[in-house]
Amino acid sequence: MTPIERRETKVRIRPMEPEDIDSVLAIDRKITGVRRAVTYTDLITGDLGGVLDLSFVAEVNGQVAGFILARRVYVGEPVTEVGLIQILGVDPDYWRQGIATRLAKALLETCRAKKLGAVRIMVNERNSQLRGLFEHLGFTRGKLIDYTKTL
Amino acid sequence: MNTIEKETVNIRRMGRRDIDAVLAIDKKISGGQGLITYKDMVAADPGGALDLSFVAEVEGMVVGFILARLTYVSVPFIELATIQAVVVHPNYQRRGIATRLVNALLGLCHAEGVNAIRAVIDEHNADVRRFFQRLGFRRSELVNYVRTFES
Repeated sequence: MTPIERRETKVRIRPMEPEDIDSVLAIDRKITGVRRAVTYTDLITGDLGGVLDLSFVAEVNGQVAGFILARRVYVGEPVTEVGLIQILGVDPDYWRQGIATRLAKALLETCRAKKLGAVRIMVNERNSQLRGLFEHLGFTRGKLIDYTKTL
Repeated sequence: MNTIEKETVNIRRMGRRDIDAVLAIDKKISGGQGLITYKDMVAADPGGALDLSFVAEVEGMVVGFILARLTYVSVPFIELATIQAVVVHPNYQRRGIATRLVNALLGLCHAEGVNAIRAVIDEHNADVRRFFQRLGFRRSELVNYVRTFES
C-alpha cells in the first residue's frame, strides 16, 4: 500500500452542515492568508443558508480538509434544474490526494439522484489543472462566457 | 420628447410584490413560455439580504427588470454581484431602460462596496456581448464547463 492510498482511505465525504462554515473559512484563509470580512452570519443567512443539500465536505481524521459548495439554479427552455458549483476548495496540506475529485463525484451522484439536469461550473480557461479535473469527470466546455466589470 | 420619456421611467429596487409583473414581461419577451419560473423568483428572494434586483416603471407599471444577487464564489472567496437577467418589455425597448437598470445596479454596488459585477452570457449572442461591453464590462477568462445527465 502506498502512502497516498493509505491517506485516501481516511477521507470521508459527507454533506455540509451549517457548523462547517468556520472550517470552510479557515481553509479559505489558509489558501489566501487573508482574514476576510465574510462572516459566519453572512454565509449562513445568505448564500449558503438553506441550500446545503448540494454541498459536501471532505474530512480527514475528523478535520474538514476540503469542501464543495453548490446551489440549484434554473436555466434554459424548457426550464431545467441545474447544480451550479460555486466554490471548490481543498486545504493545501491535502492537495494531490484526490479529494477534489471525490467531492465533485459526491455532488454529481447527488445531482443525478435528485434528477437535476446537469452540473455546471465556471472555470478559468487558463487553469489547465482544474479543466483537466472536470474533463476527467465527464464535463465538457459549454457556451457560456463571463463579462465582468470592476469598479 | 425623449426627455419626457426618460423622466417618466422610474428605477427602483425589486420587491416580492413585483414577481407577477416580472414573470409577465419574461413571458411576453420569450413568446409565451417564459424562461423564468415562479420558483426562480422565490429563490431570488426579491428584496432579501442578497438580492440586488431593480425594476423600471413607467406610469406605475413595471416595464423592465434586472435580476441580480450578491454571491461568494471561488477560493479565495470573492464577493461579487451576478447579473442573472436584464429584460425590457418589447413596447419599451430602445429607450435606454436596460442601460439604466444596469447603471442602477452599478450605483448600488459602488455604494455597498461590492467591487465586481459579473454577467454570464451565451458567447454566440453578439447583441448581449455588445451591450455589456458598452457598459464597461470586459470578457474574463472564465468559461463554463457542464456535465449533463441522461434523463
